[in-house]
Amino acid sequence: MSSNRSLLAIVAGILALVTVTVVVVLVAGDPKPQEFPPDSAEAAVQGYLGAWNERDIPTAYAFLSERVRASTSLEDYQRAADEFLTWGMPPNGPDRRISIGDASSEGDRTVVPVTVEELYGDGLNQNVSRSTRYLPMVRDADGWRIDETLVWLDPTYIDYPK
Amino acid sequence: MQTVRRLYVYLLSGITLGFLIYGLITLVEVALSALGVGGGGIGGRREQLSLAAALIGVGLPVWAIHWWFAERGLDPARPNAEEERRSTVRALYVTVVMIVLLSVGAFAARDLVREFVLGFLPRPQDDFYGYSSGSAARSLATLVVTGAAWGYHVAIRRRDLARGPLEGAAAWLPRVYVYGATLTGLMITLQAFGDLARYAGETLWPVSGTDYTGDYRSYAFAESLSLLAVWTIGWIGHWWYAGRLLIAAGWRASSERAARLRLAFFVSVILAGAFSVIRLTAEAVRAVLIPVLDATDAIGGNLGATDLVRAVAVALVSAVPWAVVWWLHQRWMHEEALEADDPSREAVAARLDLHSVALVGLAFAAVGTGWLVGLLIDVALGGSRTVGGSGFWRAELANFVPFTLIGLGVWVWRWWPIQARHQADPAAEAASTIRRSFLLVILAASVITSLGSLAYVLYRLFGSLLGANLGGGGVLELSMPIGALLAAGGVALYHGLALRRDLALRAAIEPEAPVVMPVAERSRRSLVLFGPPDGDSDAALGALREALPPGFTLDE
Repeated sequence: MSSNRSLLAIVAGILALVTVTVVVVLVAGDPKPQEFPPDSAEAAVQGYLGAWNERDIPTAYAFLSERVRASTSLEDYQRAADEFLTWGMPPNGPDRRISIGDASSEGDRTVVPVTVEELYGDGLNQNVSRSTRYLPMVRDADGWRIDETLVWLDPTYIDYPK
Repeated sequence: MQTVRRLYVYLLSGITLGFLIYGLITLVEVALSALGVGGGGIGGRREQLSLAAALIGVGLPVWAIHWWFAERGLDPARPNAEEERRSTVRALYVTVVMIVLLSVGAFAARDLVREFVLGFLPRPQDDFYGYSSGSAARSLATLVVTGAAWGYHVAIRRRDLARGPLEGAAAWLPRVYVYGATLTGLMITLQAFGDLARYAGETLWPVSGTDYTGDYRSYAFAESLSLLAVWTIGWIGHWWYAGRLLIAAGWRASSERAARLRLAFFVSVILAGAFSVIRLTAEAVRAVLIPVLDATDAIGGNLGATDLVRAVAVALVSAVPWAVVWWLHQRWMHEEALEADDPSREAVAARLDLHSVALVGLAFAAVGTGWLVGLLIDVALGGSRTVGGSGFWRAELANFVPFTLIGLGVWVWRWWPIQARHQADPAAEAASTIRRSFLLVILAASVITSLGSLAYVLYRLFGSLLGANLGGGGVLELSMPIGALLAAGGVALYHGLALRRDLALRAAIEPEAPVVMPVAERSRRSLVLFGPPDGDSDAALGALREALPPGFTLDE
């Protein structure tokens, strides 16, 4: 009967795992964004993505570097963002999660890795796709800023006719 | 030499048959278009006629010559006629040709039925999903020509079967076609039924915040309905034929009843049925868990009560035919095993049934458990670096708790009787090839999963030690691989121990084979025995053998 006991132990163990996981997830609530030092490159990326989550495009634009802002006006950026938003992008929700990694420097180049996770698939094929983008950062007079023309996390060339 | 000749003859017959059929399809399409049947067709008629004439002109004589050679070999007056009829190459040719003809014909039939159904619905754009309204003549021509060619090959096969028993590859290769077509028809029919249930659900309870166009609805509905209609006929037709073989006179019934492919067909349906029932039931439970776990806002905004009702109803309605098909094939497999001449057949059927369903349940339970362990690690140790994605964890819970619980329930439901059988007769179960295969398949899958997960964990670890910029957070990247590693490791351990116990039991039961030293390693001398003319040499040899010291033998 030892095999039946081990079977019952497995069932009990998995039920306990399910119960504990449900309780922990519900108690933990939503993950709290880490507080980065205010003048860090990671905080700038966090601020940029937070502004996009709030659909606050002017604030997101302010997190781009002086060089990027010089080449793209706020008006054009707002227009590009509006087009992006009409496609339902970027979708906020449990099917997508964004995580900010540690900034790293090599020479005068600083990058911050941003990992986007998305749930996809069906049945046993249910999976998470992870893609990591490395955002180039530069320190301006205003602090750390993203030195790439991004609409949300997509590199974009914005050039509307005047 | 005969095999090489056959390979040449049947290969050339197959290739030139393709030329001929394509030419005939084009010819019939042009004729139908000229008669105003099925639209205008594509391209100019003269160009099409030229192409058809060229293909038929090349294909027909070359096919006729090679096929004549192939058929001449079966002339009863020829000495190798029986060998030709029983040849593997001929069986392979008939099987491949019938599979190709059935597939092409079924596609054409689907297009025709879809065209017919769309006639009653709001008309989609002509180029919607690559659909062209001018294809009806082509589809009809394809159906007519491939249908005729398929019928001819059916007649050829029936004639071969009528001439006497077939064994080995000559018997099982064409059986692959019969059961493969039955299985394909059944799977597509049930899948199409599920799609239709979804469209019905979307019509009864419209999806919040979405605006499907009429074109999409019309096309998708017509596509699913045509697949359902065509493959239901394909499935029932082939299953009816296979059933008739069971009651046929002579050798065919006993050959069919004992066929392992028929058993494999039953097991495939049981596996697919169990998989789909668990998947669809998990979908229904997930739909309920999303509001229960407060993941509604996050999953897509304004999901309402109708969305919940639709998701649950569609998933459960889609699961019903899978459950019925699963139950029916399980029952038929047991009934046929009970009626079989071989008394061990019922035990084989019972083992196959129990182990295949246990395997599917275990797969879902293991995947779900791995995700939940990873999620627990993620919540307990990580996640603090997240921006946005509120409710991601709750959505993962809603996805994987049903997998875990339903998969676990199904596994225990089937594993419990497996354990009971093992306790009742450990020797028989330990010696079972089905049980051993089941344990080895699980062991292989879990070891491969463990190795993949472990490799990723070590990659992150070494990258961290070497200061490599691998991106992402440590816990974030490692939580799911660690979860998969733990779940797969647990599965491997449990089933590995069961396999080890079985091997020990078999070793204890099996009698020890006498140790016989290889001839090459033994000292050997040849002797010549002389005796009187009327002497009993056998008795002398017997006396000598009895006098030999241990380890010596005297062989003639």
